[in-house]
Amino acid sequence: MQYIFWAYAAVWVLNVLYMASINSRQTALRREIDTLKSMVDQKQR
Amino acid sequence: MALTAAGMVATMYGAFLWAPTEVTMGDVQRIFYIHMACWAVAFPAYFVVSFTGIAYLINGNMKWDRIGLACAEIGTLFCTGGLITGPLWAKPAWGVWWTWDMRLTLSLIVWLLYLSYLLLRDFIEEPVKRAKFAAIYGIFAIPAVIFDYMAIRLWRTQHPQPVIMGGEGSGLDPTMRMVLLISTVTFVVWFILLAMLRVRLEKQRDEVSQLRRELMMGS
Repeated sequence: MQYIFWAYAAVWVLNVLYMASINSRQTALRREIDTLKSMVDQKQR
Repeated sequence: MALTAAGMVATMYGAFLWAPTEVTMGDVQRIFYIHMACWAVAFPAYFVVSFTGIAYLINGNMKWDRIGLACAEIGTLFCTGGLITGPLWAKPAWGVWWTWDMRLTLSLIVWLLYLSYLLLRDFIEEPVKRAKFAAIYGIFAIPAVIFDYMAIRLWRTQHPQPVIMGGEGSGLDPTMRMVLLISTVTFVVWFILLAMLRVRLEKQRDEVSQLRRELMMGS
């Protein structure tokens, strides 16, 4: 039974970690886009 | 998202409580429902990589490169899942974690091929060159995926023979087939959801590059 547990756990953990990595990358990029947009706006003024 | 969550609960219920215990292997066979679902996503994901590669080479639209990258990454995620669940099933069933039979070896080669695809992409700075390289790589890598899929049909392997589309003498108990269908559909829906999120991420990355260029030109 422990093999079944580890098999299912491994797949769920992999997926959760991947989802978390997408979320963190997206948050970082969103922040960078906001910063860059404000810098572009400042330059244009 | 809600559909995937419901599907995951149904998969767990089906795999652990609904599906009958397999006569020869016993409870460990229940790994099958997640192992097979992983490969049922990984293989089509890699096919999408090759199709998007062809589409990019035809019309040069970067959206194909973004989709190809998303599918290669998620395909590798599920390929990793398949390569982890396989040995966890092999140990109690065969007595060994791994054996160098044709199916297992080809699966490892496929995983390494697409891991290399993801790593090598990052070495190319220029977006058009990177997209061209990825497109050509994705097209040339697909025969390995086809051979991997066909391995248990072409050669005698320690890996079990196909139970779906395996020809005469193959097949599954109807309840087992239904649980497998539920887990596969759930994983496919999850794959589509992840791919959409991953493509959006790549679009944002392009937006960052565009804004940086605007800043550079302005300075």
